[in-house]
Amino acid sequence: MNHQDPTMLGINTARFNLMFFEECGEHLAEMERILVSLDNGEPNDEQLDAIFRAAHSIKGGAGMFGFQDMILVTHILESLLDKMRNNEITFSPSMIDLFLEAGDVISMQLSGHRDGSEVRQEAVDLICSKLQLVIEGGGAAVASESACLPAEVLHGNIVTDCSAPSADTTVHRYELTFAPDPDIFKRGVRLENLLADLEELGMLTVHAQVNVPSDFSTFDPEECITSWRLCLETSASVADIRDIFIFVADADQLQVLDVTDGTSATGQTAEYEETAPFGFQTEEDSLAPAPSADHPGIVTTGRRAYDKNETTPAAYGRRAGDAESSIRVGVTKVDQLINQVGELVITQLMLAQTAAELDPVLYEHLHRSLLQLERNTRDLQQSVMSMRLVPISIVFSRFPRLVRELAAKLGKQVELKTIGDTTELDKGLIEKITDPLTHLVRNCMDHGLETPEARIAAGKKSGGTITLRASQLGGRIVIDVIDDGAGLNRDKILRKAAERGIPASDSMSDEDVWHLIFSPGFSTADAVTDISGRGVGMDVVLRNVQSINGKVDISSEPGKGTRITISLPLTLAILDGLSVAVGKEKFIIPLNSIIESLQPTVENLKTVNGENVVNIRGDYLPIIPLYELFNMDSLVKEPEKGVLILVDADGEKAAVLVDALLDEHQVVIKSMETNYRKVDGTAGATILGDGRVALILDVNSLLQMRKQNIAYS
Amino acid sequence: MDRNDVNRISLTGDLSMVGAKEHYQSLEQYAASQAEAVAAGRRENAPLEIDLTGVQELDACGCQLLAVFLNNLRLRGARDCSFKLNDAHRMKIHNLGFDDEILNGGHP
Repeated sequence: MNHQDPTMLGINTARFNLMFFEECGEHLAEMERILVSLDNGEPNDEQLDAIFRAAHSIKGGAGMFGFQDMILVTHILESLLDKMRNNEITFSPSMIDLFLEAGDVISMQLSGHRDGSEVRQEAVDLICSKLQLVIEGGGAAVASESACLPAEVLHGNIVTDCSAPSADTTVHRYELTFAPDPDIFKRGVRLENLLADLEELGMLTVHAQVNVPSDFSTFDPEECITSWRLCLETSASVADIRDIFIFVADADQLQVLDVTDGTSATGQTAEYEETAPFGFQTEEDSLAPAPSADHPGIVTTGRRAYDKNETTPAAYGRRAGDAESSIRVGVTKVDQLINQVGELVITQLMLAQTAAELDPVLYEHLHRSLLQLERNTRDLQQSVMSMRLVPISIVFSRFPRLVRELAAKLGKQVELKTIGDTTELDKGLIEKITDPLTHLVRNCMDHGLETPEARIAAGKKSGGTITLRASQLGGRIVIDVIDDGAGLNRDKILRKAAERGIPASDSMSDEDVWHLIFSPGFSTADAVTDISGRGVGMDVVLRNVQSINGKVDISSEPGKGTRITISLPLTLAILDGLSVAVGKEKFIIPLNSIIESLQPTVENLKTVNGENVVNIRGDYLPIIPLYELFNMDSLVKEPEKGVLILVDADGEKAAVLVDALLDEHQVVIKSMETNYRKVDGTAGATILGDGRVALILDVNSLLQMRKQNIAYS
Repeated sequence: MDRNDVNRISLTGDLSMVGAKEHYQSLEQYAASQAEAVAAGRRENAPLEIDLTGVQELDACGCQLLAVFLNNLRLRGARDCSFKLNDAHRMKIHNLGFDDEILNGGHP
């Protein structure tokens, strides 16, 4: 008996489940994107097909992994969509909300299987009822109220569903002609699987006809020149048969002829299916495989454009071509690779440092090789880092629906524009920027944009615009959230700040006033809504952005609108820093925190309330001696004998006292928590070229430590 | 592919999309030699035996290659052709609908 290792089985199942979860999420996102883009308009055939295909793929995957609850919902959804495709049910705008709701329920079920989160069965039952009512009512009305379906439909086997193939027990005899794309073999399509699926529907006979070339020496063995004639006796419908070919054949590559009541395959008494957008063809036409682009002068119909990026696992290898250009790799593996390359960079630095002590003439070849190694490792590092980069469209794609729903709720007309969707940033940053951006968009909708009446009264068009724009500027990613609303109200902000005891004055610059909205608990909203206005959020937005070394800027003009700009580093794995010496130790200070460095004169140094400060062009900045903060021995204890590095943390400035400046580095960040334990005042560590560990300073944290020390003193 | 004086062709390995090009080259060489023989008036009437027992993978692409090759030989006057193959391959050829094109000598 063959025993399987249950552990291995578990690992494999989990891996494939994960793949399904990811692909299912992509299908749901695509479905939602199309639905939202309809803007209450009727979907065209391609859009309807794409939505259907997404539902079909989810159902197929769910079936493969045994997620029966998902099969149930997607099957009813798919049935409704299929009837719409066949013009049996007419589209109505309210169906968009119904489909979005169905997508939400499927998403909830997906989360249930993936994360173990709660699945509200009543929501599942409700959407099934609604969808079923539309199917039964022929689309006359989209039900808004709950309706009860028989328990066996809601909770039982899928076969009990009225639209399942077994509902019609009449056995049909179909003749199929399948003339696939010439590249079907190259796409990795397994025709055996497809034919096996057909055979599951009933009795199947298969006959291949090869369009034999006159010259064997010019034959391309990888090009399909075969067409198939199939005869199928089944109770399944034409749609069921077409479903099997959905990812393999265009409409004009598959003919399905119902010859149940007739005897002639030439169609004398038989009826072609209604959906087939083609008429009778000559045998030569019907049997000739679709022409190839490789054959000039022949018009290539090819696959539909929207099928090009099909990614479903049920596509019978349709994406074989794509598989050559991309593979799905776990983030853990990529991170492991990044770490290993980081180690390589450190090793290269060590080699360079050792070689620097060798005679450049005697060891010329070695030096040249090491320079080449340095270039190669840097290139390798950049390539590996780019593997973690993902397009920001992943975040942007969630906003069309949010804006649509909020606009309906608030009675506002809003157009959402996105620019720079392909801008890439680190996957980790994408995850952390999603919530802040969502909050900003909600704020724009609720507070920034006016009602249509107010806009018209202000001489604007009734509909407002929110623009999300992403771009890369040097080593940073800049994301703008722009609205053409009323703009920030300076007087109102100052008044609210005063009411809440937030330090503010009329003499403050506009920029400083705008930044007051990031104060904890600040809100200028006159009424608290469920969308925003509680004053909880903008401070969280700022904190979240700062936690990933980002910055937030605001510009606003009354009556014209507001722009909030978030600037982020490209990645969190490497950092540009300045190495400094304190005693026998070295530290790295992030370059983006440094304003300038100087050697102070005794005249510039003062003591205020027992604390050393330095006068920088009239501003007195506190001095933070690193040796003191980290309890180290240092020969440089007087500021005038060392170097002061002026740093800025969220607008708060200070002067860090070090013994000497050393060099500028791009360093690989290593987690202290993972490798040792958390060390206050640091954001991690790195390994230098001489093999020593240098702590990377966290300027924000340093300022906090200083305040705590003063309080403790 | 092995060839000997009795016109026996043995195909081994992957007779699918993966190995189709490689097999095609061998079969094309054989077809070319036959064409030369015909052109030189040396028509070869010896029966051809194709041994597929060494084939590990067979798919529609491989079946199509066999069918085109056999059709080409028939066009040049080749007569009898027999196969050595196992049940799995016979079933595969049948399921893919290539019985007539391969096993039945091109006749339905």
